[in-house]
Amino acid sequence: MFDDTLQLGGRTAAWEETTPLLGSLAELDSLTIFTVIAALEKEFAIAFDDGDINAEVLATLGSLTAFIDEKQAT
Amino acid sequence: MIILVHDLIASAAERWGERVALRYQNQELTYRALADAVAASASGYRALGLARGDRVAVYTEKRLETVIALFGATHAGGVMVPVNPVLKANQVAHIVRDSTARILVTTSERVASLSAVLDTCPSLTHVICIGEAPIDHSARFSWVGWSSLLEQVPCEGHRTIDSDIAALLYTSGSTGRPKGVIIPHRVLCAGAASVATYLELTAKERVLAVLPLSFDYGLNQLTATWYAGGCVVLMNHLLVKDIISMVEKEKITGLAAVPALWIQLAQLSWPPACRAHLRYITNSGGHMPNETLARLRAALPTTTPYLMYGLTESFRSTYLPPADLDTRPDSIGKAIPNAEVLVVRPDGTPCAPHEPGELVHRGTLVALGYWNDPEKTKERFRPLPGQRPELPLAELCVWSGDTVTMDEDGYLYYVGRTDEMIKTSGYRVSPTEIEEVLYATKLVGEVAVFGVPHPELGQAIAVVATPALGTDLSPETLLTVCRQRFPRYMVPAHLEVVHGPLPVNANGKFDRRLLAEERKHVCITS
Repeated sequence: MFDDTLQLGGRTAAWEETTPLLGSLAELDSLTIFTVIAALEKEFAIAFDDGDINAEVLATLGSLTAFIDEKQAT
Repeated sequence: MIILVHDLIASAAERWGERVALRYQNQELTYRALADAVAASASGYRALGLARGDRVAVYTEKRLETVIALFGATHAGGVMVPVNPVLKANQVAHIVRDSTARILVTTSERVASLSAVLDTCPSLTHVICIGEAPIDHSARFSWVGWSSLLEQVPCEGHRTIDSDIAALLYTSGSTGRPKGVIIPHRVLCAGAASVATYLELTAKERVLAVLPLSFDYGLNQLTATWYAGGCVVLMNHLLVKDIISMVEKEKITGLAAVPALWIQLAQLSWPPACRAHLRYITNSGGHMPNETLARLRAALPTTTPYLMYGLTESFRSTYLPPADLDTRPDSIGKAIPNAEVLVVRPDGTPCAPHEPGELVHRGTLVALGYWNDPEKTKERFRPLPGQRPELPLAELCVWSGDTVTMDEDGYLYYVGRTDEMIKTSGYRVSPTEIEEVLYATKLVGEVAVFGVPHPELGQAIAVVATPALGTDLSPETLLTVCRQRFPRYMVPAHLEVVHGPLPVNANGKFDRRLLAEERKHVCITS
């Protein structure tokens, strides 16, 4: 999903839970983050509340997937 | 007196060795530890063969290693080239090639995106990787791990004086590829002292560094704070609200941002707890709309706003003393200490009060031109108008390309970028003026005004706006407002309401050029 949304050219294949997101990806900025959030909502059929997502959630791939799991469970 | 930029750290380490100089997430460095790390990285660069004046490009998000890598480069006698972390591989490669950098410092995460372009940079001899370095023996340069860089035998830096180059700061101009502004040590040192003095910085400061370190004022967040012995907290943000959370959590005393960011920050709520510690805020990189300033002052009544104006080519030029805010909220103030600002006509003669003219900056903060670009240097760095004939050597000043006016009391007012002024039906219209009025309606969240080609008018005025937070807005409503408030020639021919933030360029300014390019046909009927 990240690959498609941000056109990363297949780089996500090597991603792991500890792969940092915030700050370490030039493609992920204050504008594209909104595209990513919209794509996540669609992909996982969830809706984020305003204020749900913050820097801690976006720290790594692992922290983001944990957050989505939690969101899907509720 | 401190004459070399890295000596700001060494000198602070002697006075305030145990104080915290730098924080990032849960890590921090005292001045002593920072000075030692900077000296160690300098020895590492020397061990790799760095010669006097060699360029070291640093392409990383803000983190402790970024700061060590940048100041280690000047400590070794080289030149730092901070690369904006939001740039993509091709733009990074352009900067590495253009600056003929010998060393690149980056992170293992970023290496993946750079792998295709690094071989197009013939000047590179070493790539230093923070994190795990790839095992790749086919590359034309050598890979070095960050930790091994810091483990070399101590070695003095090359002899350096204050007219030597400390940094190349790449700026995205209105046309063409980014140019490297040549910054000598004396500009960085004078800039640190000047800003620290007029912001009245002290050793109690906790400054949140949100702006990129590749931006002149972003780099100054570090140097001015260190000049005073304070602490800089580094932050990489994706969501604007996280900045406010960080201000509260880290008990921040000072925050610098650019207009596009302040416009977003002003629309959010600030917890009252911030008032207890947020002593000042600063704006630079463009005009802050009055409406934004008014909102921020209402949300942060005990915080002092400083409005500044400057270009990378001459660092900072003016600031508005806070005491003048109520009487002149739309002024960019007067020249900062030890700089002079003139307002001149195209022939160099001085403008009368209130007559629009080009801002010309003279003084010690003037940069040394654009790296390897004599043509563009000649356009921007030109002789002082009206210099005494007895002086045989021309003093070079920065002709800013910004149109401003000066009132009878010497206060300056920003009109617009000369090349962004809209020429419509024989009038020259300032985009800033229209944006200012639209912000004042409180109907819009963000707004950008620019010119688009028009068959009869030459250029027509185009507006792209987002609705104010939590509201709806139709283009018709906005057009009605424009008709009520503007003479006919200032009424936009194209008005668009979009959702989500407006695009910004690498310096965090609204990207009017991109918006205009995307809409260049809207007023041309085929």
